[in-house]
Amino acid sequence: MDCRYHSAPDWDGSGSQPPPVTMLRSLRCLCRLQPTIGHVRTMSQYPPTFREPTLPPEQTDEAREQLTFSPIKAAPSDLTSSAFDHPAVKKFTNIIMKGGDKNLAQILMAKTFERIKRTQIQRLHATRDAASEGTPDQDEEPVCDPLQVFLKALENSKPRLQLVPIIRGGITYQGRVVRLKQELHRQCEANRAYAHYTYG
Amino acid sequence: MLPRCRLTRLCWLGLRPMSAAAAPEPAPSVFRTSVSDPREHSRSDLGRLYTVDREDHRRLFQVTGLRKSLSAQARTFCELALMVRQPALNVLDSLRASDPSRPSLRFLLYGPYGGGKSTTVAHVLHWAAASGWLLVHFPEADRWGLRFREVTASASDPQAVDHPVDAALWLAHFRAQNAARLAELDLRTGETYTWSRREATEAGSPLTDLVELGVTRGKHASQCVLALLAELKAHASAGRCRLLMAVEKVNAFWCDSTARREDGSTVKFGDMTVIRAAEQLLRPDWSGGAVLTTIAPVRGGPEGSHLPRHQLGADGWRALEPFVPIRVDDMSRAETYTMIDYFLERRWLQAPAAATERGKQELFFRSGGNPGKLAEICSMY
Repeated sequence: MDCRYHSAPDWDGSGSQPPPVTMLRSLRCLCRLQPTIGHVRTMSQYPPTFREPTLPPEQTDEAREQLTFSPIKAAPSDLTSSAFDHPAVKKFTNIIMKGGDKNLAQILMAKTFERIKRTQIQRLHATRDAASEGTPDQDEEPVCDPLQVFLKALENSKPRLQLVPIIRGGITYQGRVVRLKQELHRQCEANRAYAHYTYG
Repeated sequence: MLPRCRLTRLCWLGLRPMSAAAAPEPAPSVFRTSVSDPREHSRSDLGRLYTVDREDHRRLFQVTGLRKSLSAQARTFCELALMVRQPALNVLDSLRASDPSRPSLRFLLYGPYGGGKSTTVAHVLHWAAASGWLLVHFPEADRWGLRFREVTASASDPQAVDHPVDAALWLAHFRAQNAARLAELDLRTGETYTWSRREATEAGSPLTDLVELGVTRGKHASQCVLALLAELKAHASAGRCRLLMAVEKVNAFWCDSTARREDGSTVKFGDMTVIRAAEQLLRPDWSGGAVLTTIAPVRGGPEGSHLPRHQLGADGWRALEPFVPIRVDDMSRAETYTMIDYFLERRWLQAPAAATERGKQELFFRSGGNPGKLAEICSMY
């Protein structure tokens, strides 16, 4: 087995780094001993000669030259060349999907975006009409791009983190702790005396 | 340019080199026309949008009359802008050239779903209102039998049914569209209408009395519509007014409705008082006006083709013939780009990609130039 296939070839100019030499050497030893587990990616249905599929904007002449006679892996079903594609939206669509009904999930996402945009743009035009004289102040404009609103909402919904020093075995690590959660617990501790009011 | 041998190879593989696939640059679109008076629209305004005067917009489409998507768009954009397209200009040219003493011209707009038939009707309505015509506008005729609020047995005819609420609302729509013009024309009723033992509309009273009675007394609203349209037909034929009868989804008139009588029998559209009122204006026995109809697949009607013979069926075809068929098709590439530019100007397209040539190409490709589809796709970005 030829071990040079273990590193992904940098044919598409993406700049992916080959594995360090030491790692290659150890892999080569591994191959000599056990040729059956030579592949880095086990359980792949494709031999290592297969290329990753690419999208039209990335297909330079050189890339196509290389692709013309090489076998290519089947494209994932959600791979798209759309100019409007966004990975976060795609991921979120998959998360809200139930029972594999992706069509419904996409419709729900589209309607949500439309609603956000409709509200904001109506507000924008209404304020413009109200102050029709002079250009409106750029700072006071509502954010109309539903994608930006969505990304901001996603950001807001993430838990807040902070670093706290934790000593383990004489070494101080910087551990990540969810701050809000900690504060909540501290409050709960402080108000434990009133716990019996909860169901009263 | 690629070397010759590689070109041959790519072609053999069914691939096209990128340089050859690049589409020709469409001309930069000046998407608005300053002519906001529909009477002055001409070929030079083709493919551009004009803004409907705010007062006209409120008057013509205050109660109902626009498709839900278009009225939502108008509300969001704080203006109603319609594209001047060939089908509307064809209708307007024919209307301008028509002789009021001859039987009324009848147009039938047909075409794919979302192609702009209702928008064309809105444009023609605006022209007719600006030209001093009276408007009899039935938006979404299928509503009367499929999405009605209430039906009751008619007092005058045991077979017929009335729409107490919908007919009153329709009369309110009629009043909003025509109040100013009716006051100018001062049309009077030619007959005496007796509604009950105490209520009657004497011959010679203004037509607005009929409208007011219907709006306030839902019980008689359907009969009021019947009387009003008969009166208008007589006035138009006598040359006292010009009348535009516009019916959207006219093919519903020859379908079964979901309404039931008390004995459980199905009500046909033709058994409804309001539809009977409308049908008398679809007949070719009057002059001084025009009839503008559209067809579109309705629930319970034939599925598949949107072509007139299929959608109207034998009865509908016989009732409407002869008519001028006008196809309202998807937009051209230039028209689609104009629409995209308009959306960009109204900030409706927010994604930065939409302003690029590649984004516009994609929107045109995905919508196929269909205005409804384009609006649907653009609503997310």
